[in-house]
Amino acid sequence: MALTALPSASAGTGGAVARRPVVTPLWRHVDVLVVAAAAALSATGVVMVYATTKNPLAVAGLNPQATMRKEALFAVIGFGAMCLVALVDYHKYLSWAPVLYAGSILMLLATFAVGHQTLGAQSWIQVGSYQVEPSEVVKVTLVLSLAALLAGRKGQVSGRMLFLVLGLSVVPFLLIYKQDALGSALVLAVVMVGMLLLAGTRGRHMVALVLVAAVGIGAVLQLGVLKQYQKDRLTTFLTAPPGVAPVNSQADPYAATIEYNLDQAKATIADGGLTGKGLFRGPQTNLSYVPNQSTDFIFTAVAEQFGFVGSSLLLALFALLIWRTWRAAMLSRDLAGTLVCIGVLSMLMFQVFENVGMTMGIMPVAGITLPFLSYGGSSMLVDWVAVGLVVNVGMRRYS
Amino acid sequence: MSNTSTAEPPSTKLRATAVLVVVVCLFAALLGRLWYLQGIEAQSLSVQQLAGQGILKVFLPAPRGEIFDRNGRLLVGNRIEQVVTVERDSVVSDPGLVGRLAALLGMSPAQVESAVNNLQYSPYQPVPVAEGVSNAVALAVKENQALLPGVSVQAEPVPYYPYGSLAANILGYVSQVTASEYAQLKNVSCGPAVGPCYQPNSQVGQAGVENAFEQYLRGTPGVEELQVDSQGHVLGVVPGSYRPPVPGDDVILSIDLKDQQAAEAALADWLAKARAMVCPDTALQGYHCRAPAASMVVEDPRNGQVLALATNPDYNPVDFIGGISEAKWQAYNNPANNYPLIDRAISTGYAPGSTWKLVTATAMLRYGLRSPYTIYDDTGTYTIGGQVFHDNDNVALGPVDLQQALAESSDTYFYSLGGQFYLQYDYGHHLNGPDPLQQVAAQYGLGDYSGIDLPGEAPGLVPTAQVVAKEHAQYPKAYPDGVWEPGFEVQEAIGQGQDLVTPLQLANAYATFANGGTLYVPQIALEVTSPGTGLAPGAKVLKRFGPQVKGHVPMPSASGRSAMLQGFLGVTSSPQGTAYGAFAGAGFPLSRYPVAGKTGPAQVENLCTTAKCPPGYVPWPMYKQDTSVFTSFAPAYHPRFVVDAIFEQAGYGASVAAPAVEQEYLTLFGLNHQASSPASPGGGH
Repeated sequence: MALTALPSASAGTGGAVARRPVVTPLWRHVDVLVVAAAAALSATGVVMVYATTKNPLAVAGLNPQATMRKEALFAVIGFGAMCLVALVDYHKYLSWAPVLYAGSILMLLATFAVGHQTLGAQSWIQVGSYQVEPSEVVKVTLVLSLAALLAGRKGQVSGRMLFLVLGLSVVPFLLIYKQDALGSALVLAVVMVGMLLLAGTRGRHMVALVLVAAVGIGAVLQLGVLKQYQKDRLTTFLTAPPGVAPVNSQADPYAATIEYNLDQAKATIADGGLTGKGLFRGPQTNLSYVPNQSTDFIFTAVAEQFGFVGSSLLLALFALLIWRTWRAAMLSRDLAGTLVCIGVLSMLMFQVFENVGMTMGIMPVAGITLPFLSYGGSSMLVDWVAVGLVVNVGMRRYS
Repeated sequence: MSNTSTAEPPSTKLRATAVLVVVVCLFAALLGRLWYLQGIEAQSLSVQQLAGQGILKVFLPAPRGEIFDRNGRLLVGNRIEQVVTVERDSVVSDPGLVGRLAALLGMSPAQVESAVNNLQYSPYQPVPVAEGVSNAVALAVKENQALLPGVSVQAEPVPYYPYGSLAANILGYVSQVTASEYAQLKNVSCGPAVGPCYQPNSQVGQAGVENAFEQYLRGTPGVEELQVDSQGHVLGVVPGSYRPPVPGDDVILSIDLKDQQAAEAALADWLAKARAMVCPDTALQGYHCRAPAASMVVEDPRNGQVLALATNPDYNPVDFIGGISEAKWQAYNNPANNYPLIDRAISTGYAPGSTWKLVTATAMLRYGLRSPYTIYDDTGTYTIGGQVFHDNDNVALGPVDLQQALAESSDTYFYSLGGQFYLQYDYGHHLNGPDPLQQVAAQYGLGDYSGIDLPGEAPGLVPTAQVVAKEHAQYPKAYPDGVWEPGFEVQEAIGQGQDLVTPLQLANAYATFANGGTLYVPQIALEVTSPGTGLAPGAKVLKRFGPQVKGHVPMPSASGRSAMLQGFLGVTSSPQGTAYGAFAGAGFPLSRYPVAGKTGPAQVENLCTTAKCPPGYVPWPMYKQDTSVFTSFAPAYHPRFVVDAIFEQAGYGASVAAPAVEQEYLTLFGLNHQASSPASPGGGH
């Protein structure tokens, strides 16, 4: 399937001079900045994964590059996946949405049968020698499903439709929440809200939705639906000033671990100062003092080694990616494309804010990855697929 | 607002702008927080502390200072031993390593395993597996590094005793600090650059000089900062953090190696002879002496320097290197082995017997009870208050003056002095403080710590009315009578009461008489010198310990002191003298080296021969034979040596302790024919 197969829409046919129809190849409309931002983030991620894993691997007598090589491989595969996703018109995906949605729900269900537990969350399926995380996959399938559903009624989100959207979202939300992957579940909620907003949901519906969510969160915290460690995770950031020893370490060892993790994360970020300690020169990073540093807390590695300057640049790359995604949403030729891009934007924005925010102690600790940087194949692939969708919508804006 | 089917999505632009605003706000929040943490919080102390947590300070033990005798002969040194060490991480990651290492070292895998798991050693430092390995093994380790990851050969200072157990009681031993010792020592600082001097696995001097001079001998540990990850793995050394250990300072003792060797030999010889002889005991005849233990002191009366301090049985400090084995520790503490860890020369109080008469005679002359020439008729018994006291050997010496009474050991002469002191100073004023006898004893340094620079000294005991009253108040059953009875004073006058003196106190008291009345604090250390120099030319003396005067004993008049001296000389030279056989009779050249002495058969217990024993009487075999005591100084008119010896359960002083002291004098004066060195007579000190 060649990129030049589809003619682009001509800019206009008025005027005296007869014009040849202009056939611009589709790939000419690819937003290079989106791809460049994602590639730069992936490259940074590979280096950071190396910085955080080389010493523990060396100490264990293993190849220090082992984890970094896997991550690099995933980045390359992700790039390929992005290209493949971009090739097929996104309307095709929207038409496949029911199948994709059902498939991802089945995968989520499968985790309960054959899943693996990590850090209290039961969210992995073993496929060969790889672990697949269905909760990552379902983010994209939900974006496609909601886009397909909402784009069908241009600007009209009826009450029935609203409930349908809620229902489609709640099923994977609950399944993921049941796996104790609260962070991933919250991504779905944010994606849903973002897409509902752009789909033209009425103001009072939006307000009602937000109110229900607020009451729901309050009830969840009060009625003991959450496990104690989940509550501690969510509230630790409110109680612990940086650098202070764990407050309630006797209450729950896991809570103590979270607080320790957060204290170490904040100290490590602060350790970076203005310009950072330099690549591979961060003592906290080299000595593995931040638990989960290669995955959820990878931002601390960037912050320690490159300081405020480097961290700001990283955030700027994310901002670039998100801005170009917003731009693609605005330029989309139809509402479906807009909604797909806004879904991806919501997903990326929430993950960046929640992840970076939690490492700095302004958001609750909820296991969530930093797109393109956190070590993990599923996450890397899904992030690239999401970028593929944005590129897909953007390059077909004239179609 | 009405709904029409063709309506555009309402306010899409507005909503998209709202999304963008939210995005900008969120990024602004992240940037603001980032600036707070990295621009402001970075300077906070708590964060800096957390950031420095990956640094682990490792302490490298310093070689201890060495100990020399007064002539610069090495008594305790440091030998560099080759130690094979292994890193615990390597053992964990390479399970076959233990087997290969065991094969190379000739150990069993279980031994290697237990060495690796020894919790005594820091988890951050390589664990010693085999100490004192040969060069061949060391070479093999270096050549087979590929097969032995994490295994290395390191040089380690190990205490070295060139003369084995010689002077162990003086030198002490070194072992790992105990938990309670560490609790006291952990705050001892070796300066801001190093920090604490002691770690939970530090070696510390446990007895003798090693303990008393620990602060000089220990040195300053080296430090090194390691980078340790959160799991405890060592990743490397912090550059520039290494400070090498500084060896401890050396200590020069007043001990003379040859004198100490001779003293220990004399004790061993005469203990053996005592065990082979029929014991001349006051109460029990016909048995061999048990002679379980003995001690000897040689002191310079001119300055209080101790030249030899011997005790038998003794221990071997080598046993404590690298931790003493359970079996050896049990053996050292087994009563059947007579407690070799006790330094009897300073830690055990003995009844002084007739050697106490130094005190009684001095008091008699000072308080004018008798003149030196007063004749007393020794009838063999003395009676006071209806109580009869017998002379030790029940022999009536007839008329004796002070000189004869000392030389021939007339007990009744001194019993009667005790009676006189009681009647004049005690009777009717029971609690009026020490009487003249006890005051003189205190002036001679008896009943109090001598102050020698060694740990574990015993104070001895001079009983007074207060002591008796206190004992009665504390233990009314054991001491039914809290009143100072005349019998107490009479017994005390001949050193048979509750008096207890250590061999060192006894020597120091006679040294005071010998030098004309100056009571010195006995000293064992002369100098502290810079490490590694010993007494070599150019040795830097860091601290010098001069003679220390503790007090003065007013001497009797010249005639009185002369009479006492003649009495002490008669002990060894007069045919009636109690130690005549050991000196003049044995051919000791008294004309060149006159020896003033005093024997002291000290009766320890009353023998019970009846079926039912009265209180205070002990049946054989629990009965303890008499203590053999002899004390002396020589040359009598210009004394350079005070020598005394106390043999437990060895009979009269004349039979064992006196000849042992005579044997020591042969070495001190260079008369020993076995000594091949052409020492000039009387020279050397």
